[in-house]
Amino acid sequence: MVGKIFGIGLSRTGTSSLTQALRTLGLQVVHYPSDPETYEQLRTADFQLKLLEQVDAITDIPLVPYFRQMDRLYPGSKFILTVRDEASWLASIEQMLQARPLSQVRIPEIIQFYRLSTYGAVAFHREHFMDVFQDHKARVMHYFRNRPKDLLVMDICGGAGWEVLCPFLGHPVLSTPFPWENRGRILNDAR
Amino acid sequence: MTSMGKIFGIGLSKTGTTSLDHALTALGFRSVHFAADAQTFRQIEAADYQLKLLERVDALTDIPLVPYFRQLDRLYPDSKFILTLREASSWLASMERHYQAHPVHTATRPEVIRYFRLANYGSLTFNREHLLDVYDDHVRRVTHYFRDRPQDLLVMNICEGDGWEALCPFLGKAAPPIPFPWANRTE
Repeated sequence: MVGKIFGIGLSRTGTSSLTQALRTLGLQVVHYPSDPETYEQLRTADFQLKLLEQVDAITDIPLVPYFRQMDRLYPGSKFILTVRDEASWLASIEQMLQARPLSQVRIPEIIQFYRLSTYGAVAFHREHFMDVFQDHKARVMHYFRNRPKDLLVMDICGGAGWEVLCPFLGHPVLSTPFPWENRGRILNDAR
Repeated sequence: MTSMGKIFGIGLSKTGTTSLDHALTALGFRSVHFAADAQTFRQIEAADYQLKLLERVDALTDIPLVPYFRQLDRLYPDSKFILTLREASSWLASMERHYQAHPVHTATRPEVIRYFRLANYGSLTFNREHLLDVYDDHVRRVTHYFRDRPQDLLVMNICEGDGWEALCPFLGKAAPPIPFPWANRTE
């Protein structure tokens, strides 16, 4: 296919499921890229990623702040905004931030970079995260407002699956179960 | 102004934030530009926006609190917000010079500068297109939030010459008999 696929939903919106689903469709996917080379490129605002020479798709927050740069640098790309019921997202992101504070992650500098760039915060604050969640959705919808074929908004946690993802990617709808990951589990994300 | 409220300059860096700070000081407000003292930074890191600093000052300007302007509005009712703007190409040129002259690693407290830049700009290095997106996002977010409250948001372009005639009526103050303190003017 021409272009790349970018999952631009925030953490805890079904990014692991989306990753697994894209792999099932035969794509090379990196979930939450945190390799030193990619981090160095993002740190220096060099968005022409070496990683994208080897893979088809990237999911989770590392590229979320730069989705418009990705769109400009990789014409023909498709963007998938995973969304989720706000109250359940807030509860989930709160648990994630409490379970994995920067003091307990393996690569704190990189995780701090990604969290600050996307959320503007590293500690949970309900109203602030609600603002960020709404801002992000509004920003993405505004940017793609005239390009419905390039943006899929999908609520995986609410049950959306192959029936929306496959047509969006020009793939026949699979009859196998959609890989809903992390259901009812909170702590097994990649970090 | 009312007893409870504060004044928050919520324009991005290089939009006249120093001038605004000097102007607020000249109007008699206790103003802090770029609040980065250890206690404030600890509170911001902990997402505790009820700042101790605001127990003794009236106004804050520049980016440290910009990402949280809505929390400040909720925590400090009757506050006034001032969004300083600047023509985009001149702002970008100024940001480029600023980033090149003040890279994070040369700061006295690099972790603080890194934190504020990431929280506001999502980047540490100048990238024209990205910063333009950030600028547009910020202006849209602020004007949208205050769309029904024109009395609480002043949008001013200090770099293009806006001064006392815009600021003083907004804050209910008489214009002082001194020139507006345009600071950091580029030759």
